Amino acid sequence: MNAKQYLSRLLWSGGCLALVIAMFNWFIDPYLMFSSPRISGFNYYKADINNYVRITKAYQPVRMSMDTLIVGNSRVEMGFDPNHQCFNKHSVYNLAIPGAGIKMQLHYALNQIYQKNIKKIYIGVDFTDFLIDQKDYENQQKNINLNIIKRMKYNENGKKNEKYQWQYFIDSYQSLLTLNALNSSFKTILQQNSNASNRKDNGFNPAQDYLTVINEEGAIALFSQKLPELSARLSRPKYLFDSAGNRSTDFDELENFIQIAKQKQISVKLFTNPFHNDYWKLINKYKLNNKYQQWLKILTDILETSKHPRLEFWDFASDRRFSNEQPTKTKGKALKWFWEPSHYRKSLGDIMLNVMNQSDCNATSKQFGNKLK
Amino acid sequence: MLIFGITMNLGLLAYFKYANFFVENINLVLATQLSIANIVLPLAISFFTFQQIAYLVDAWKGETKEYSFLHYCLFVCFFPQLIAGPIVHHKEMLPQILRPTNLRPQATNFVIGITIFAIGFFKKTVIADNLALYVSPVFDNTNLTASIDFFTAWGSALAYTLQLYFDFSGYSEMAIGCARLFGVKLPINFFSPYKSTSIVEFWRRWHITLSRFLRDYLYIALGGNRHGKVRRYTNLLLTMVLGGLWHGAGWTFVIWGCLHGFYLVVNHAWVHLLKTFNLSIEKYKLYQLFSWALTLLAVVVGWVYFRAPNLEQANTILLAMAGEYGANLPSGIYAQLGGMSNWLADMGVGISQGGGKQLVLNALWVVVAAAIALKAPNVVEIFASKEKVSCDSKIQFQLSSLHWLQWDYNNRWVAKTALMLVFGILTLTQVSEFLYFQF
Repeated sequence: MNAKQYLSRLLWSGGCLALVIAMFNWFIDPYLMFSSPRISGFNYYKADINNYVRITKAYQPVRMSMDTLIVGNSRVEMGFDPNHQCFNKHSVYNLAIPGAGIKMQLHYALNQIYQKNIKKIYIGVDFTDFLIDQKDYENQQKNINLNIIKRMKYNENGKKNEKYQWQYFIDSYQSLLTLNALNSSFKTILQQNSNASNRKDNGFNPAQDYLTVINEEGAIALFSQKLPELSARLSRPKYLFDSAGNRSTDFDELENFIQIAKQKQISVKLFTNPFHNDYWKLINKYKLNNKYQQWLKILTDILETSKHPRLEFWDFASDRRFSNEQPTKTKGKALKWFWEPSHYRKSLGDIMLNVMNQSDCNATSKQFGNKLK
Repeated sequence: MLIFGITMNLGLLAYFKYANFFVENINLVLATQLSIANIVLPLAISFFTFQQIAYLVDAWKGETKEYSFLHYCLFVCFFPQLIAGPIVHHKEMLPQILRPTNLRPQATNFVIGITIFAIGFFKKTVIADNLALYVSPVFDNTNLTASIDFFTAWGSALAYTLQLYFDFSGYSEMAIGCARLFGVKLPINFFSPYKSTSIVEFWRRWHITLSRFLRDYLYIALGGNRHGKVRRYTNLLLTMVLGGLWHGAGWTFVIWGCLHGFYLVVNHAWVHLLKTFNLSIEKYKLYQLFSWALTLLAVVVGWVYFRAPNLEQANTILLAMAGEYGANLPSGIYAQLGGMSNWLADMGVGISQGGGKQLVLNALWVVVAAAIALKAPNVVEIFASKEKVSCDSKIQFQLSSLHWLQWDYNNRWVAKTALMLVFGILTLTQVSEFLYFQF
């Protein structure tokens, strides 16, 4: 082989290798970017999707037909199953985004509202998502994450986002031709078991990955891990109003969203997410109870003044009848209603859906929560 | 003129790199509030300052030929090695730049250049950047004492030890490969430094072109070993302290330089002792193993100061490595250990929260990277039987020329090069930076 042959073979083999990797990543589709076929035992469970859900849920729902959206953070993503019996006549997508603040959650929803004929939206809200930190307390600004906005086909005001196509190209490239994607694809293949992380095609997170820890260390391990994190978060100074007396801009975002829903004649069912008692103990410990009540009052006022004719507000957080279960060290024994202090299970989400849909769903429901509006 | 030239070069370096450090320390000592404007450090100033000083000194000695100003500029600004070395000498560069055959592209140069570039690219983007994931969370943690323990400290310190090597040697090889595309051979900068069994040997293998510059233009200029042992050791210490300060304006770099100066003095004294008493223990495997482990330990301790943002952080990490903050294994790992967990508990190993995935991945990356750093041949060895890749004629180590990884014009090397290049390209959209760009 001479030098020219070496270079020519190098070029060909490099090109072929890159092509094979891209095809492999497309087929495994670890981030659900391409709606590639899911094959049981091969690429069905998306074991490495947890860190990429914001990409998944920016693009995946565009390809789905839907008339109902579920919006919120990780609690809603794990709790609200779009296959619930009350959704029989509807096509539902769970658009909840883990770790997202209220602004991002609503922007993702608006992006779909501008593209689809959405009839109904369920929005799970959390008290903690509306609190502002010390920095914002001193100088509250609209905090816009440009990268996320680029992924949205429509801006919050309904105008087409000119950077969307470029961002879609970048995200597609990164899902096909990066080492991270290749690593995720291999991880996907190697972790094909029912306890692997996953997202269903309807956006629901079955959260079966919690079972791995519960089976090995008992449910108490999840509580021991989560509570110090929550404690550290809640111990920092938090406010509902900034130093100038303006309420958290998250309320404004919600208010604007409800107005848009009203204009588009979309029914809205807003609800507060339930917490485990251990979470409530932390809220008491850091003396946030008054702020919680204040938050509930502001929310109710916003909803009242919106005059949206098809708007309901349900409070499940204040009702603690399912929050008292205690975790144990017993391996394999999960709690019935909660995974850990902040995340409730589908079993409790099902009850919440039954309660909220009692009028048009035949399901018999346990008593839970209060309808505030 | 020589003094004027050196003063100008060092003056600019001092202003851009050390003015803030100087003022901060004046304020600290005299309790003053002096301040100067935020100075932006010009990229690569440390590297081209050295090359220019070397040229000035050699011109003064009459060792340079009459080159055109344009050729001189090309020598200083040659882009593959401009930013982070290798630090080149005019004697080895300018004749190559002037060689007429280098004005025409040559397929052989492309083959060798691309292959060396691919090796460096892979080392930097795949190995070093993945090791970096286990370094920053510890070294940059502002609340370190709350979370550090024996295992995380060692995991992070070893990850940085390997990250720095793969990052900088990877960059150097990318520069060497890139220059080779133009027919220019650069000097090799790393020769498997972690295989060293002494600190003296380590400095012959690590950042070779910097060691060469410090030896020729600082240590020898200070008197070298020509004025007795005390003066020799003082010169050695001073050279290393200044070498440390060259890397950055901070006390951590001064400590790092002092440590290596001290190591070198002890190493020279030990060798002198062995000679004096005619002890030939170097031939024993156990002695070699002990020497290697001790050298590596000394280097790792030095790197902790080199990487830490301040002395307090470095001391915390070192104390944790010594067991001061206890040793904990995540509950996820403990649960998998069965009967061994009782034994660990008896040994004082506690339980921390979490599944332990980070710790396991950290250990895996360290083991894999260490195996490559310690067992794989370096670029010079890979090409030894076919090609002399370095322009430095004084490679002082025996080459294992029959190594299984010898490069040749064959399909195996086509595949290996393609694999390394493609894997490198796969990392291109991931955020990363070269560690030595900051110096």
